[in-house]
Amino acid sequence: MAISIIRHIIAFILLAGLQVLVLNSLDISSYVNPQVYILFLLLLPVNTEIWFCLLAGFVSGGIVDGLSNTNGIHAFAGTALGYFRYFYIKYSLDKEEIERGMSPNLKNMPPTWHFFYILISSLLYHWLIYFMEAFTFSGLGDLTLKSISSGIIATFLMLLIGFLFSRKTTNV
Amino acid sequence: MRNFFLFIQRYSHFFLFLILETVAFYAIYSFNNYHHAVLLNTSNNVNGFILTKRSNITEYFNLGKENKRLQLENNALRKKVLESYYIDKSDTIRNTDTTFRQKFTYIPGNVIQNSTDLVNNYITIDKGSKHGIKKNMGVINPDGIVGVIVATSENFSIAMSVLNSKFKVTPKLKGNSSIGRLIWKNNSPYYANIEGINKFNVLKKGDIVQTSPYSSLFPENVMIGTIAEVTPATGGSFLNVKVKLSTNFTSLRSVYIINNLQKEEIETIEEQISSGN
Repeated sequence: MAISIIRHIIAFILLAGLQVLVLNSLDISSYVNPQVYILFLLLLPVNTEIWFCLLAGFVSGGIVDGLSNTNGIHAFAGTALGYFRYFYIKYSLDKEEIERGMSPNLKNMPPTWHFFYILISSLLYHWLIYFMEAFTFSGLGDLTLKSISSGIIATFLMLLIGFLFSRKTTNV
Repeated sequence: MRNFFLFIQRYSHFFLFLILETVAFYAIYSFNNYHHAVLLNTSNNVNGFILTKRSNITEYFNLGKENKRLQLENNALRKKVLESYYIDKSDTIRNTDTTFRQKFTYIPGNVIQNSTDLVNNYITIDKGSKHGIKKNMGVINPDGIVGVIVATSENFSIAMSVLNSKFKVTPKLKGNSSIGRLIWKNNSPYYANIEGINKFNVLKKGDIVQTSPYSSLFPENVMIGTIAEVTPATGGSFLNVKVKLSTNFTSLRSVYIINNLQKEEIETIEEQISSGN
């Protein structure tokens, strides 16, 4: 259990580092700004308590906010993602599977389930940060386009990172 | 009462969710509305330290380009110094000491964090109040205008970029008296728009847009960009002017923060007028 917690903390530090130090300074286009640090939140064990998901989303988002001048946008979207994740897992997996408490990564889960889990979460997250930042319905088309392009690229990056680093966990 | 507690307990996660979202929402809007820095920004020392370290590494990748830019600027400035001119008339008296008084001083700085993809983009600069930076100072780089300082800490400061929906500056066209409002419409980091120019003006693609003398943030004639497109605004007597910004916001590095030495004096007078009325 303790090892698992340390592993998740290290995963967060590495992902946040990758996000803030590398991805945030890559200016490919104003339409492509993938946020991959949320992979940490998505890969928490499936039986994680909801209050922990919410707090983890808030704190990790807050840290990324502090380093990218966004004043709470990531904290907002991270909390929402923590909430969303809990219900997505609750309604798409069996009770027994949830009780086994594995991390919902590529090695433990069917690839299709994992792909849609990451894709939907990523699109939701990117849409939320751009919407909260603009907070208007006038540029809705543009911000949706931005969140789709960033969200899809983030999905592929997260699948790649997951493919390289996740391990099969039978029981935690 | 018991039912009430049961209700709270049953939906405790939902209340936690609401509380956290409210805190985040407060953080977002207290900064955007009042230009008041709260917890979550890069001006604190820990975050600034991390970003400075990153910037120390990444600056090497653009060193060549940055050197060339500064060299071109030096070249342009060298042309302007008095030693580069010779006196053509024998009766000219040069009395620079009293004729010219310094109005603007410049504080050099480096950009350590910058974004271009949001509606309200901010820039973090590695100089702060310790180096004499205050709120509402203009920021430029060798190519043109960059933004205006909105928050400072001891060692770092945050500037509102031109690429921000709240940024406003009064531009002027070189060789033309008409002015308007420069605003950024969140479409591309390379273009901004000028609104409020009367349609009887003759504007050409490629005309130069500079800062006007009415701004206390920037010196006159700082480059903003060149006109890229002119279209008549729908249902009005104004033109929609699209400007190609001369500053490349995707590769900001060296900037200068402008200290207007007369600003306090101007503001005191303006205050006197408004309080007199």
